[in-house]
Amino acid sequence: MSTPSSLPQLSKKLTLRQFQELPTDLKIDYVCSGVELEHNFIDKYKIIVMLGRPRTCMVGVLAYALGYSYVGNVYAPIILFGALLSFLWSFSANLHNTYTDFKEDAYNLPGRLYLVARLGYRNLYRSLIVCNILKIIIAAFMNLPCLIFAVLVQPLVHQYSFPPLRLKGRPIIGVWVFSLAVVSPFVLGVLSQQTSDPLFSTESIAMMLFLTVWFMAKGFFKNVPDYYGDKAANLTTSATIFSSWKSASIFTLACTVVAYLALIPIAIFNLVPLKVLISLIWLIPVVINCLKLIEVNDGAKGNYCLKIDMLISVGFIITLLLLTKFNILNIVVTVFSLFILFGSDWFGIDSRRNQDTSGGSNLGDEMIIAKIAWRNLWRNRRRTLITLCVMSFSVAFMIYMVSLATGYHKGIIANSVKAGTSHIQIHKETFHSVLKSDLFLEWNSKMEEKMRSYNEVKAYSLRIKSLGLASYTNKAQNITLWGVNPKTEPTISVFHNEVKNKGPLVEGSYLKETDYLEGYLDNNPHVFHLPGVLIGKKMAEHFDIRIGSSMVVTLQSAGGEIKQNLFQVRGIFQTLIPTYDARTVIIHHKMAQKMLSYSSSQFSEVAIVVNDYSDMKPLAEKLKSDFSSSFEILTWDQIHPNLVDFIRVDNVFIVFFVVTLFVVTSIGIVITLLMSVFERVHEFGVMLAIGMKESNLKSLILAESLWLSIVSCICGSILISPVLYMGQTQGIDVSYMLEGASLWAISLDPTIYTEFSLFATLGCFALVICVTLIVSLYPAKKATKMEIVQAMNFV
Amino acid sequence: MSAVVRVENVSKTYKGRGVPVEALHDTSFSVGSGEFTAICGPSGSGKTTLLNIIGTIDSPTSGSVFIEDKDTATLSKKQLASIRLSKLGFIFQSYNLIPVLTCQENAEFVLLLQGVTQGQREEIVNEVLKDVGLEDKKHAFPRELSGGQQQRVAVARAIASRPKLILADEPTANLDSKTGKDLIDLMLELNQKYEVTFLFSTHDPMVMEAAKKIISIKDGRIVDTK
Repeated sequence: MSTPSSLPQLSKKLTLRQFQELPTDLKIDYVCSGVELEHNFIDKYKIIVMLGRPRTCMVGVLAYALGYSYVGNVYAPIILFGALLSFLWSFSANLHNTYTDFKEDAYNLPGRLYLVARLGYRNLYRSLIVCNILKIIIAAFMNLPCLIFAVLVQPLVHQYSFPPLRLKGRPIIGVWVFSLAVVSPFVLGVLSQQTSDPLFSTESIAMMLFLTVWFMAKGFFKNVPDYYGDKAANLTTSATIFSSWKSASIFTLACTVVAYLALIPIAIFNLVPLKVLISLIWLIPVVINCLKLIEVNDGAKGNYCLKIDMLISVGFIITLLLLTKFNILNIVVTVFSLFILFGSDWFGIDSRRNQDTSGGSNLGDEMIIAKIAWRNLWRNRRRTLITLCVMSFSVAFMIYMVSLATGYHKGIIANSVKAGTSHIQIHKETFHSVLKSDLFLEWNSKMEEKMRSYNEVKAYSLRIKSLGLASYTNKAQNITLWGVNPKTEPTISVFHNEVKNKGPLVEGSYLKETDYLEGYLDNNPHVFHLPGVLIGKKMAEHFDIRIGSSMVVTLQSAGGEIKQNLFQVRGIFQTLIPTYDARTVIIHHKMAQKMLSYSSSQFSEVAIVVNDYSDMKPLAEKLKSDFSSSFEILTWDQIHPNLVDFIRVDNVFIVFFVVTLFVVTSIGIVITLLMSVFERVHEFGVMLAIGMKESNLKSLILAESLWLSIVSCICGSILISPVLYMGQTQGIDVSYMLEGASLWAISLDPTIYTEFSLFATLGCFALVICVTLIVSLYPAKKATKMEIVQAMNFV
Repeated sequence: MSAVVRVENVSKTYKGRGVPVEALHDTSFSVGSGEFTAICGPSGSGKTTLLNIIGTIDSPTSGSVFIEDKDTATLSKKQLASIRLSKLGFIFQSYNLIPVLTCQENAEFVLLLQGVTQGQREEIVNEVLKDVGLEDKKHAFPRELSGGQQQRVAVARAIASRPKLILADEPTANLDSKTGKDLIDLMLELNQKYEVTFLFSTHDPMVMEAAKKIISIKDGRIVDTK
């Protein structure tokens, strides 16, 4: 506590520097003496914001959006309240920490303690009370589950630093409570659900567990920079239980790596989409930062590592969020989070600012290296521009190729779905492979009701399928007969569309509701009405049959009887698959039921189209559990495994192509960097002479190549944007190139559209950056291998 | 007066493809704290080699150099970089500023490497640029400055990190006599103000005149100290 000689200082208005020079105990006494150095109203609010540390609150907001992504598609006001509550969740936790951690801050963060002196510690207490009340009010505006959750969990979160429990003094439980800063907003996101579906799915629980593990690792990291302060304050944390800073940070590194890798088993068990694993690219900077933490062994420098860790964490959770659900809401949350993250640095609204920490830090190292690297690039403008051009065009070409392949593959699936495959088909077991007419399913009102209850279902239609024979005059042809409902079938396939509407119907018209009736209709003795039939153009050519002509269809009924009926050709369709056009015959489902001796509730197939392709697999799983085990539930890829294989092979070629292209380009990068290194050998010698570390020099060269790759990614994207836009809106007509080809890919629409894929593009960027960094390792090594004197004498 | 640098029996032999050349032979001397010392001698006498060895950017073939009683031969590359960063300042004959950085950034560079906080950096750099009379040129790039001004920036860079010892290798060699004189006056002033030790290599009579101690060297041997 204060010594008599220092007591007079407590009455003085101290500057930050004077405050920092006070002994640790006296700093606390000074703050607790009730000083309130700041009298400007606006500055007081600014200090509250600084102490709340907005930059650290964004992980919570992103976690909320992630939680909501698991349950919601509806943009309701609740999202705004939820995001605000999630923000305040961390904000108030930071205020609580500041209020309870005077002793630790006096050592670790005297700058933050000085902010409390400026604000007045009583004002700090008032602000955290207001914050807590505000949270409850917002939760009440959301819904009852959110309110209950906030009321129950919020006190536990505050017990992290507040007495009586002050759980931060318990290494493991403390870190678990710390993880609630992210897990709670995630749960709030799930609780914000606007539909009546069950709240927590296996997937959301898996993600919640992952976030717990992940943020616990962050907790271990967070405690390391406070190692010496917490030791001085006799506080037992996950860091101070170790005998040295180094051991604590090695433990942190191990926990962090394990936490990030925990995503892999979750993906393997299909609890998150496999593409989410792309976010593990953040593991590289995470490990580098952890290694730096081991090396620094200093509170202030450790705080800088913590700051970097926060940036990486935000980057990681943003990637996770966008890969989980890429929608407008998540993009808005991402942009807002980045704005707050960088804005809080820009406007200096963070209480862990570098100038407020107890010692020096290498905050500027990366900044100055990035600055020198950027300026170095433009020393030889022409060379840099040529390199950038080559790289930008490569990036542009890569994005284009990937977008074209994505669009093409999507077109294959869309065409196949529209041509009648649909996303999911339900049959009696084994029906799909044998098409036997005795394998029918009984459709009842319960099944009907169940089907209507699925949100994922866009449309569905019941069909009858059978093998048969079509004949006209003296010609006959094996056929696959489709009995369709003319009312519901157009909601899932496009055979009703005429050519002018980009449909396959080249002649005549589609089936009518009455196309199962036979005889003299409306007592008109002059017109004998026959049931209608649609046939493919190949069959029409084979039979030499026209619209209005009659043909015979022969089927074998479920009971084994041979049934024949006369049909009138209503329409002729044409796809680009000759076998399909030669053998498919479409009639009214009631007529098919009659010929196969089915009752009106007996069908061969339920064809389902889902709202979004990503809904297909989850819906199939639901159907499997909800419907009888004697049904086979087939998804699009199971119905057309050959097409799936085709797409896979195509993807392999694209990857090979893209990688080869960039490896070739990288040779140019090595040459450019080597030239630029040899031009500056003398300068590097000077830098090393005045105290620059070799690692800094390596970083400088790597930063130059990083700049090159970042700029080329941006330029390449800009370059290709109009081409992509054209490709996405106009498409490329390839019919003249593929005449006679038998491809489902172009079966209905021989136009290939480009489809911008954010993930594939990010993958391209990652490839460009990785390859560029790898190839620049050689020039970097070359630069640091030279002796300083030799380098300085190098001309 | 405690010795900032102590050179003990330092020899340096360059082994090229031809005959080995002995640049320094059994050289010993020490420089006390706050001294303004010049190492004088004709071209090729070994001045620069000696300065390089003291500056830890070259190593002796035999003998030892102690900087504040720390034997530099026992230190790793990383530790030597740290010594150069924290205890030594360098002024080169051809200025050797980083061309892509402004005056302010050049002066700030070593502070950044030292991990000095932004606020402190600004304070120090403003002060040293004022000391060298270039506060109005802080946003200028080296190419926009005259030789004398560039050398002043180099002095500012050397002094900014508050080193124990500044090593200046023929700092006036590329300057006209008036500018050279101004630079020497400036360095004398800084020597007084910051009590920093200066060790020059020179054959400029003006510098020798200003030096409080002169170590004469010829053919790699110290021939006189006064």
